[in-house]
Amino acid sequence: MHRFANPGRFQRLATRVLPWLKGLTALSFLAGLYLALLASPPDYQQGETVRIMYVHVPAAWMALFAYLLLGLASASSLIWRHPLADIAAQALSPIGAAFTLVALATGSLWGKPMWGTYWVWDARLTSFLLLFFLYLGHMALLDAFDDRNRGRRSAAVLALVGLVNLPIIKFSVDWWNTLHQPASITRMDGPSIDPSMLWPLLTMAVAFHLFLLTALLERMRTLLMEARLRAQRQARFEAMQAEQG
Amino acid sequence: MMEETAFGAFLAMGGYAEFVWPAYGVTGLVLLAIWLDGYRRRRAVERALQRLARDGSGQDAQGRDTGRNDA
Amino acid sequence: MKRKTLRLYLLVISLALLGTATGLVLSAINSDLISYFVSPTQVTKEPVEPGRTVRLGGLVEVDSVGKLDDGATHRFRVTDLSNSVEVLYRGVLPDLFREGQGVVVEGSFNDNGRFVAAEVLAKHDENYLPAEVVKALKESGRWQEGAAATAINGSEGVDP
Repeated sequence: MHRFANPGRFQRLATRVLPWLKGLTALSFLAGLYLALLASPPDYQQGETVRIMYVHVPAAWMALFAYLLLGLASASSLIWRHPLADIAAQALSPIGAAFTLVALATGSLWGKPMWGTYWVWDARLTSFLLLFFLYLGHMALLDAFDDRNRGRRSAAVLALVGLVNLPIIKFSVDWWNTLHQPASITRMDGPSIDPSMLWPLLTMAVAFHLFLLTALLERMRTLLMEARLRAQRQARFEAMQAEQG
Repeated sequence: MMEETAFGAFLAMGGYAEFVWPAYGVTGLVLLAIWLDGYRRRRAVERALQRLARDGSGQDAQGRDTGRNDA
Repeated sequence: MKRKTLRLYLLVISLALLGTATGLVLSAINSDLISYFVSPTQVTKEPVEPGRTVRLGGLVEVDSVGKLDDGATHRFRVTDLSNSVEVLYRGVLPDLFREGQGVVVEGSFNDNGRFVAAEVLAKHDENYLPAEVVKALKESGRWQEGAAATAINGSEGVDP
């Protein structure tokens, strides 16, 4: 594992893998869209609106998964001060915020026809909105200090504190009365989704995972190059000063 | 009526078109935006690195940092 | 001890403390504060004074949906299978409003002990099935009503 944690090696690996990942992501989105929009039946209660599930649920999963990764990256940044962990954390929060936004917006568009409202302040929806603000807060803190390292450390602490929100989101539908329904997939007695609707959902979930991975690697590679650019400019600036002095 | 053709029925989404299509639209737009943002930043920093290697400035004529926002 | 190990322990301990503290706070505050609605049994045991706004959640009782003589006010009963409350509502019902389905009504009790709703929200369950499958199950007589009860009772559901 430590071999890939070397920034230079990571850079070469990402450059080689990314074109393949992009192709795979596009293909799985095509397959997912075909299954979700064309090759799956309407639901017995919800009719065609069930198709919103195929984007809403994977987006919500990715929003939570990205936050878990953000927590892990922040922990290893604080403990081992590893540069790649910092870069991963910095790359993750905009991606996670995007997925959270998608989950909130599609959930709202699903709630209006089925529940009769775009939004309610129940425990699930409220804790998910908090997740969005945690991502925004992480992005803001990274830029809030002139000293980059102070920004990174405070952002990492915020990300770790925000980890307590993950179990709250997950179990809110079991612990409290909510308008949002309980989980359909991760149930003790197996998923309560018919296979004809489970397959489109899982295919979309694969596509969303691949998108997360692709976007993450692309952003990490860019951030590494930006760090190199800063270092080169600094070196050149110092060389110029030495010439003049 | 639109619904008389198979394609019309597909577009109508059983009367829920105004919710299903915006849901897919907003998903596509947000994912596209996050991808485009990452792509533009990578192109910008690649160009700045090349410029730095060529003439040693890495900045544009106004002396701005081209590492980030150069589209 | 190496500084890295120290930082690791420190982080694990503070996260564990934070988690425990959050857990204690969440279990200590009245869960009714966080819960989005109360059940018919709760309002039967501890009646809510007339005029106070509450949200009531349960299933729409089968064969209870009708209209008042004015032709505009919906009348139905909300049940949690132990107790039920009569609800009056003037307005448009959501598409998912059906007998046997979950519902959350917001409003208050009037002086006659009937619940006057200002808003009716449908609650859907976590079961997803193609319409054709349900039709086939119903035709063969193997369809069981009441699966929606799990949506209301959550983890303590009565799902078979």
